Amino acid sequence: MRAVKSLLAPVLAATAVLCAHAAFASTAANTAIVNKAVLSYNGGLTAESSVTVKVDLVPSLPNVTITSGSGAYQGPDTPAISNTVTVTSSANGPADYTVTPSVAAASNTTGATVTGGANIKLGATITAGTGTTTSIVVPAPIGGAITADAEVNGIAVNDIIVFTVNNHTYTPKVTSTQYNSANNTFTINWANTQAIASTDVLGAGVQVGERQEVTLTAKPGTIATLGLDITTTVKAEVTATNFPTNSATTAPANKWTSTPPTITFQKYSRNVTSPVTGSGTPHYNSSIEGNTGAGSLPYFTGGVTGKPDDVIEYVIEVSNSGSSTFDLTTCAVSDHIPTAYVTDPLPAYTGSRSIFYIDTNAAASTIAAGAIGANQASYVAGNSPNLIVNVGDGANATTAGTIPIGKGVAVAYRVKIK
Amino acid sequence: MKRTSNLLAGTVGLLLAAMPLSAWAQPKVAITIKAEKEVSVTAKGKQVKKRIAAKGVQPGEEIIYTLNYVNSGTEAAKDVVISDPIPAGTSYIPGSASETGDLSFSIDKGKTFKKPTLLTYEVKGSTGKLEKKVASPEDYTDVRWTIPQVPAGGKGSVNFKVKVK
Repeated sequence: MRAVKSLLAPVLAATAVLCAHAAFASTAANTAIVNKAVLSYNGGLTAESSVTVKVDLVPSLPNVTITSGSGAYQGPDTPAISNTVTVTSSANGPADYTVTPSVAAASNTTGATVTGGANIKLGATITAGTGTTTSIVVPAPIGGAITADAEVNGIAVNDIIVFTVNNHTYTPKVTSTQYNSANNTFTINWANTQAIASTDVLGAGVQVGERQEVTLTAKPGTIATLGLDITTTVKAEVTATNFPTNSATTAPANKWTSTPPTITFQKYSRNVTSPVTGSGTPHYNSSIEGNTGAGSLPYFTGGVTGKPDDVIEYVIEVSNSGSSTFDLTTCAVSDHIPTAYVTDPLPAYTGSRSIFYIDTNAAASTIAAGAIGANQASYVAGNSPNLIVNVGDGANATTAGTIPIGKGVAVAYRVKIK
Repeated sequence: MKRTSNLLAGTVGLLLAAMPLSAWAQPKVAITIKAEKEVSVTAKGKQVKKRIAAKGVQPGEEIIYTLNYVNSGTEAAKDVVISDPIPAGTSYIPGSASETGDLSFSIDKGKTFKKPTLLTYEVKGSTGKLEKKVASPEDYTDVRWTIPQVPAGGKGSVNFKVKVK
């Protein structure tokens, strides 16, 4: 209907017949509807009376959008991802809104969080006259200041306002406001650099809302399975008193990528009593007690041969290598010694201890193996596995340790073939 | 000084006594305007409509304006004309104005008033010729009642409705 009237307007002006002004789609909240009647009689005597009615706020669903982000998971709650909630008023007047975020869904994590809820005031109005490419004309609200750059229905200098005309949405930043006493309106201005198309100059009856952003902080919590990505869906609910609730969720969800750690894990053996060439790739480790200097013998990945009473030495090497950003936590080396064919681990190392251990700093030590929880290494013949050694930084009798990125450990023991 | 005042008072008293009584008889008409709206209320289990003062309204709601006039003078007021511009931000609701006296409307902000059927404007038709169109009620800019006479002590009211845009 308004479009038809706009077309008619120039024609009517040309015929010099004053007719109706363009119809309002709505009226701004806090607008004064003033009715002033004049009564005249006896050819010149007059009386007047007027009444003012205020236009109330009409609650209207705000427009809400929310962004998502991504990052590489580095550890519990690290890194945080920012989500931006954009709220745009579609009401006819200002209102206070509350943005309440929550984690609507999460995968491969526990304890994912989002913070940053806020209370915001969004201005809004309805145009009441014809603007320009850099301005709109809106009603002066009842009770509002009428000074230069006064706030108009919650719209102030530096606010971002939003309006749509001819399917074009504009988001200029307010640079000034100016009161027009002749018709009790305000002109809201913005910079020439944000001028709208001349064909989109606003007439009366167009809703103009304010847009604000609220930044949320989403944290991943603690990853459940390293190497699998974490996703969290954040939801932002926007409410205002007597307003319908509107909300938005991140789509797609926030994502923390997780590169699986690369673990090098190899078991070697050699025949200490009767050195033989085994199968597989020969490997040297002169740090193992009793295998130093010129007599150092290689270990083999594919095993060696031996006869009863020959002593076989096993070495298990573990390292945290590759491009992973994670330390290996809760590390323990376990093995199953086939006691049907070989003896229990021999007390072959310094201090008559049965386990030789090289820690993450390449420092060697020997460990006595006994009951579970008694020493860093445990050996219970009937268990499967029967040998368990807590390794890595912080490892002790009851705690498995950590192997940092780029570090490794080694465990060695000897048995005799039955 | 006191003597001079007494002399003046005596002179004025004589002049007033000499004037005809008809010179004092004159109309004095006052007008008041009231804005109301209708709301639905439940009374004794039934929904009834009730008029309340329209302090605040929402777009789409109707405002009922009632203009009360009273002649408190001692003589009839003649050619009483009540003019009321349709408030900005509202549109006249067709048929809502009371048929008191001679009711007419304007579509040119009060320059001319006519009966609704005579309110026309010209617009170029598809052939390029000027065509007359009858104005629609939402085009009305003013409403006017012309009442030939309001007797001394007489009173009355007119009313109309608008819709908030």
